[in-house]
Amino acid sequence: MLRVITVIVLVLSIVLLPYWLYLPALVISMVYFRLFWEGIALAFLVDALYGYGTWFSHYQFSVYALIIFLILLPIRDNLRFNA
Amino acid sequence: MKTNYPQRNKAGFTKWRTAMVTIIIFVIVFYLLSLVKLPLISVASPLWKGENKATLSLANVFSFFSSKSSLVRENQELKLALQSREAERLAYVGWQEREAELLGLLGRKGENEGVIASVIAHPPQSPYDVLIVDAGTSSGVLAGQRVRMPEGPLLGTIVEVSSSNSKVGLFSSSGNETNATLERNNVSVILVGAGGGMFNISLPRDVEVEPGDRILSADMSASLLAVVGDVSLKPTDSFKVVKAKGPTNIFNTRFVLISQ
Repeated sequence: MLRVITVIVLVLSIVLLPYWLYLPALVISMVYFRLFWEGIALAFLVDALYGYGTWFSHYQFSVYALIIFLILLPIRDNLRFNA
Repeated sequence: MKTNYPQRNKAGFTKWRTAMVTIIIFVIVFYLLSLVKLPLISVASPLWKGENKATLSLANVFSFFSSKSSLVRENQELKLALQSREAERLAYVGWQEREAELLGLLGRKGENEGVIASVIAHPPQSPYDVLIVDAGTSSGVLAGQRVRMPEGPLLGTIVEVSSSNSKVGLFSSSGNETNATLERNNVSVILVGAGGGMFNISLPRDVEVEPGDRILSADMSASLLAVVGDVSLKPTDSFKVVKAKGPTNIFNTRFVLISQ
């Protein structure tokens, strides 16, 4: 339930709030929740709404989110909290 | 005879499998979602418009209850108006006469006609230097058209258009390069976007440049693009590093003019 609420809050934040609020919140959510693949979709939403230009500059946050997701995959279980 | 087979690292294997599946799903979903990015903007635009209206309404409510707040708001509005007038003044220094004269000689039409659009989303909502405006193909807007302040300074170009909204890529977007001219000595420069409405320029150390100098577009209209803010030069460097800022504050731009 907390996960769903987080996603809804993040979607609204992406549309309405400054990026310096929703981008850190997105990263924290990806660290906090196990296999938070929604983070990649939310990063894609950021890119779809605001990105433009060449492929990487258009979709850079999606790629960063994927990288964070993949980095967290092996180390996530060793963190000292569980969600 | 007993044979010891190495134990398979199941946990590690699962993680690798998850990573590979994630990458494959990412590529597929990414491709599918990239087809619907423009409708996403149309879906979000009512929220942006609602937010803008709510912000204005809330400001009115609070100003009713608090005289100090209303004074602060009035002060901010006056600052904005002053900023707008300053941008207008900078853009119009000798510009109108020169443009009319040149265009008259060449028998060409000016660029003052266009579509006025309201900005519904702007930085810092966007991590990129991008504006979303409420005019699209239904209003005659096309990709590649130039976007300027109603007062004259150029801001950027239309990069994506849907039927009712457009995305404006600002010249100040990080890494974006724009050909321009330093007005003081008509030197061609390349404005490199630094984000947040700022630019960087690299100039040979012999080129004279002062804070406050205007940087104009390299085309015939010679529209204002930026104003030099800071010039730094180390004794050992061959080039000056010039920091320039756009003539307007992109964080509270409300209207833009879209022209050819």
